[in-house]
Amino acid sequence: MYSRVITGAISGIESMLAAVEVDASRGMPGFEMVGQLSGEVREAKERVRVALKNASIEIPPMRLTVSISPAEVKKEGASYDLPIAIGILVSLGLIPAEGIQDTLIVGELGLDGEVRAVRGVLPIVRKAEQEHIRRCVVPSANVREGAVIDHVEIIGVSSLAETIEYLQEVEERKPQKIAPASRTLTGDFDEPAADLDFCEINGQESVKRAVEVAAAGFHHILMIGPPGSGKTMIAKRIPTILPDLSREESLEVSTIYSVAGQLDGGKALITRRPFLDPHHTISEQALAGGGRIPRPGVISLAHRGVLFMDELPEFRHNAIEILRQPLEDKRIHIARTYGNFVYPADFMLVAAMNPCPCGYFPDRNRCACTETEVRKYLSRISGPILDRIDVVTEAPRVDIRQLSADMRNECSADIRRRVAGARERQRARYMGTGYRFNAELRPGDIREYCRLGTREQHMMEEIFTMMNLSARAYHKIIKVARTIADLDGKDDIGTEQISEAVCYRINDKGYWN
Amino acid sequence: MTEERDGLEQNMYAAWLDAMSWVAGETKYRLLGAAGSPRGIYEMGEGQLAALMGLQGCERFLQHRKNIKPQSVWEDLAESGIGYTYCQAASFPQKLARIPDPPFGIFYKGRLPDGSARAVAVIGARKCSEYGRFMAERFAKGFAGHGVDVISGMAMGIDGISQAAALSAGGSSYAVLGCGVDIVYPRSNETLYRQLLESGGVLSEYPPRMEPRPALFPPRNRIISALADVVLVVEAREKSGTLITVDMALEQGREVYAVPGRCTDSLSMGCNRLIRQGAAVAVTPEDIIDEMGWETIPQKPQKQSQPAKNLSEAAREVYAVLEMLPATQDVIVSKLRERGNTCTIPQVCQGLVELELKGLILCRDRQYGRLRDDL
Repeated sequence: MYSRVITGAISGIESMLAAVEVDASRGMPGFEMVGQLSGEVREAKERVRVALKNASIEIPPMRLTVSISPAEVKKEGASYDLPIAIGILVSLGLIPAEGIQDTLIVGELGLDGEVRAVRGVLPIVRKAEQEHIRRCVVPSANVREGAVIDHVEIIGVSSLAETIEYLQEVEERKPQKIAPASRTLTGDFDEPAADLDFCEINGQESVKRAVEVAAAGFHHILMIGPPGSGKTMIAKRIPTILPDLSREESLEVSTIYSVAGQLDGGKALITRRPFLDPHHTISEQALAGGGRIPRPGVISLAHRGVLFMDELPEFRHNAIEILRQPLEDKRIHIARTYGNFVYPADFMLVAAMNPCPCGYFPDRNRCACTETEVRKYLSRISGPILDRIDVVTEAPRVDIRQLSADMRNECSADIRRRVAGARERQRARYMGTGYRFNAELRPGDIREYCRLGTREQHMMEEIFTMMNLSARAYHKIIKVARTIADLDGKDDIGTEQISEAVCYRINDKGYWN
Repeated sequence: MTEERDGLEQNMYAAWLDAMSWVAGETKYRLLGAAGSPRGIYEMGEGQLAALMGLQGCERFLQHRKNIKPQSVWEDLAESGIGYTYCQAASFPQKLARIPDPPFGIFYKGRLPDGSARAVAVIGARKCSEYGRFMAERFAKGFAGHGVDVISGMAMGIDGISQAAALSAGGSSYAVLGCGVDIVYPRSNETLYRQLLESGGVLSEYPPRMEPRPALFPPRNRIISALADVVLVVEAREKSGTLITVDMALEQGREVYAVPGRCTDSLSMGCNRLIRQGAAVAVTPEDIIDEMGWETIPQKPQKQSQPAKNLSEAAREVYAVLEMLPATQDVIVSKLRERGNTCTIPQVCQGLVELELKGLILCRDRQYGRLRDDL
């Protein structure tokens, strides 16, 4: 007899519905599996056989053929175990065909029949909802993840026997067997209030302000300062001044984490902006996403959040170069034998570096680097990456008085309110243009969205000649000035905003100062 | 005519002799004393050479004489635009001739220093601070303005900075190298090297194509101090090569000045110690010129806009806490806070940009410093 079980497949972060077809017919006893299966899927054969045996189900000596379609997509992962087992049972007549109607099934099987967690439940359930599937049977460990999606009944199962019993039950009595999981609300997952807050940082006013400006306009930022100047401390707190993730963003981010298998058990949704700080020895693959069938890399896990690269010049040249495309297109393309994969990578780059190899330049009492060494150090960051950084700020060494002082500093919440206000202004201004933030403005559109009055125009001209700026630096100053005006709640850019933007400039003509 | 031709010919033989970099200056002088003229040295007999140079030296000398002709040395020099003068020649700088250990000859590109011109050697640390850079520029510009030449070693740091500043202020400057004059060392000073060829010169006692070696630098320092009337140390650590030049300057009877610094700055330790030991304190270039009794050229009153009147409140506040020593924005902010000022970061930025646009402060490597003391 023939049976067909709906399940899900993941390719990149794209999810699609797949079908496990099983045919049991008389003939030479055997178990064949087809449909571009990777090693793990092929091994399902053994897991399913033993798991069925341990659930006291003997497979009669028949010829079993399992096909997983669509055939052109490479299947990987262990999530096909459970649908294969169920398909066999249906084709053997042990589960009625109506029991699996409109039902999507995913799950890995242990030899003892235990149903284990799998990757990518969130995007699969999301796809199921779009395809009007009524019910999804998922491992109980993934229930909260699946229950984020509306309009789909989520049934969590923990063993094969339980699944069989559930599917054998008549439709009316099913809810008594296993109740559909209640909807997971975003609010349920707010982790205990973050212990990070900007009010813990004494001094560093300029840096804090620069960070606020960068966050408001989604500008990438570079902090330069000696060791111990609090660069890392500040970077870690940047997510706390970014507006909360919207539900849509939260789903996007959670999908990436789900595909990467990084949603921990109890967590269903990522509700806080990600903060990723890869070590500087990170490989290109780990950064961009790697593997034969690539998993999302660090830059994708930082999607909608902050990617903090401490000691930027120490990163491998190739690793830094990889950032070029994501910084431009907000996503990364990875080509592999099995196809092209696109992962979102829309992150705010926060980079930090020492001013010289020893870290103390220009304090000549401590720094013994030659001028050549200092310049060489700075030039290790390639031009194209610097081009994409709009805000540069200097983090000085904090002196002991400031550290120990009992200062009243602004809290993250207050800063976040201003940042949110500035972002709201940008949203309103760029409605329907495809832009979201000032940082994204292309030179051609700067004139349109960042109008300057005559006085401001005159000032920019003066600055341009006086400070020997490049055209790119000029545009960056205007974009940053636009963001500052948004923070200040101003419709027009004034000379004050230009002045401040000038102080965050990065001069790319030769040595940058 | 003949005398002139003879001079040229003697010069050629001297250059040939000087191309033997392995012969010590002392030996060359000894040979000259015995032979009377460079040509005489060239034609000297084997026995006399052996007596004056030792057997080994004599052998190498004979080899050189066999393989290399004075004419070819001379043509080589002419081809690469390198001039040469030696101790008996009229063009040989007299200041050099009167020191304890004078060089036998000098290779040069550009001009030789004018014997009658006043000159100050501005020397100091290679890895200098912003303060050192500032003071080197200030002194060099001042000297250039009063027609005083700046002599130095074209090294990184104070040397190069002071020479570049003197040239940019329209003065002349001469560099004494620790390698052949056709070699630009350090490479990063290539622009300066070219400028020196135009408004000054590059000198060396080493023959062309001689690569820089650590051992060559201390001896060239004696030429730097010898060419100058005054040696000015801008910045030096307590144990610094610069102090070798100072020792030589004292031996040669040159005046030594040092730019004082803060007692806590290791880069000023050398200077402060010199002052303690009796070096004169250099505060402005005019002080030195006055004390030396040189004539000053009345300076055109610089176009000093009177910015104080139309400075904004923020700019005035910021300017008040700025010093000649550059500071980052955050340092400026904390200084303002110490004075009880509560202006916001945007206001500070505004002040800084206003001051920068008005040319009152300078921003380098994200550090802001005053350009002038007064307002």
